[in-house]
Amino acid sequence: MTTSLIPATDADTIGFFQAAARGELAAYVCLTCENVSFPRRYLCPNCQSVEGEWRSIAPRGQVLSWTVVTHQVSLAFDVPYAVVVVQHSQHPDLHFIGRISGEPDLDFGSEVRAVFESVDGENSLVNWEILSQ
Amino acid sequence: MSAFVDRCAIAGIGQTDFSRESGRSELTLAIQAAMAAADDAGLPLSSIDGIVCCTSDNVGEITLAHGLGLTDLNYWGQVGPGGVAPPAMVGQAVAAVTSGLAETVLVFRSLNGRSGRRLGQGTKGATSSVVGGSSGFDELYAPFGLTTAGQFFALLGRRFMHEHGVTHEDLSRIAVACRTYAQDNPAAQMYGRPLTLDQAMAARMIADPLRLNDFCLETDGAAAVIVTTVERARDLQQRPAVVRAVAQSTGAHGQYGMMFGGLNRPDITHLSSRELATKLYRRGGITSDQVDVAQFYDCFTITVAMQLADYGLCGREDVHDFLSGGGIDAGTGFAINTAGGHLSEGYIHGLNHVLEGVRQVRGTSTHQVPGAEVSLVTGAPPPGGSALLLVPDA
Repeated sequence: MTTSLIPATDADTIGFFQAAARGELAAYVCLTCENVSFPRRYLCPNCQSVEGEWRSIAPRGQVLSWTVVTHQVSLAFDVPYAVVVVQHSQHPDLHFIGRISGEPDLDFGSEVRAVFESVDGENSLVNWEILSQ
Repeated sequence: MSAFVDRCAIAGIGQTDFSRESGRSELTLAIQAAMAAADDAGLPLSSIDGIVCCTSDNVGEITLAHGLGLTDLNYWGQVGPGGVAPPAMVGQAVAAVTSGLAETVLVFRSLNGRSGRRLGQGTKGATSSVVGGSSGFDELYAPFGLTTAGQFFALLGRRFMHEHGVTHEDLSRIAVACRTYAQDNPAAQMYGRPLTLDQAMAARMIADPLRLNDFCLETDGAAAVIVTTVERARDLQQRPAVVRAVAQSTGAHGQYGMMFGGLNRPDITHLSSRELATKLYRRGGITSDQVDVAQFYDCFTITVAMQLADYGLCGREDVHDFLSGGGIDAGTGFAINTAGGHLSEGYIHGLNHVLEGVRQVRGTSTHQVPGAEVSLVTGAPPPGGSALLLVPDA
């Protein structure tokens, strides 16, 4: 059966997982120029500010690409499953990775919504579900 | 043109056998490849005064110096990561020689890639329950089921195929070309095992859309080259393979992490090879139509397909037409990966491509391009890239 891999975080990613535990999708926003990045960029690539914060963003996106994994490598995940690359609906430069069990019916541009999954009672992941057309 | 153009040459090449189980330590393999390279050049081992290795190697430069009986080494350095490194490793050797830090630099890569650590198994997320942290960024990928290079290139590949109309048949033509060249090369792991287009297209699916023959081999073995000045190389026993240009690039956007961070670039199909190729050709004073033969980094077939337009073999919108029209078919199309490549010769993490690039310039390849004057070698395009142009001595 599918188990899970627990994310070990650092300062550049922890805000994303803390938000997931609250049921929110988060990105890092520069307090000087409002540049949005994911994962966090401590030094803003736009204005070189080091002042920023994690903020909630809309939990919506479109499928940019996907693969269906049929060859078992990681013992944590039963095959088949799909890995999706999601392009954020409002910030197209932001991409998120998610896993969907089985062989879902996916297409380029499929609309998806973030779903928040607790993996061990302490850590949460952001995965994605397909919105019906 | 840059200061190092035509200043240094690869004077010797050496490799071990390529197998699934060497039965030897990676240090022993490195020593054997180094001895072969020195013997090929006609140099005593004691003339080596510098060593460059890959950050991914388990054998350190100083360890190898000791293993070779070298004392008071003048220079050593590392370039990484992984398959990105080999052309840049040669570049670092050129930099050491042209700056006077060393005279004769050995560049090597050694791995028990099948019987030891299998790189295709991916991040530690494949086997342990906690993954990520420490500025590696794996926590953004492995807990979400993305743990291997094959899955990563499948994600890049599906998008690239969608954007450019590239089919799996197109990719299979790359696999078949490499396998066909390997039938001429007795040292290739896939020598004696030909592959048809139908077989490649029907092979077992691994990470959709990539099938078995879209994946490179796993290899135990080592390779080494010796870099020195063109003047010294002329006094040795091989025709010098002159380093016309070498370049590195992180591409227009850059990324973090070993590989998976490429999915967080604003354009996931825009690889570092686009900026890298422009820089390389400019430094070398070469145009793409002057390139006679190329060794493209081929961890996967799609990796080759994604580099073709960047290096000017076809237009950006013509990748499908180029491949489906036989553009790289063995014997009739443009010659790539003429020893069989990582797909069919062996996987020495990019360095065996440098050796084949040298053979083409010498005129000694098992699938020789007649009169090859400009030989291109590329490294893996993510997370950054490096590439090399070799030419015969004038």
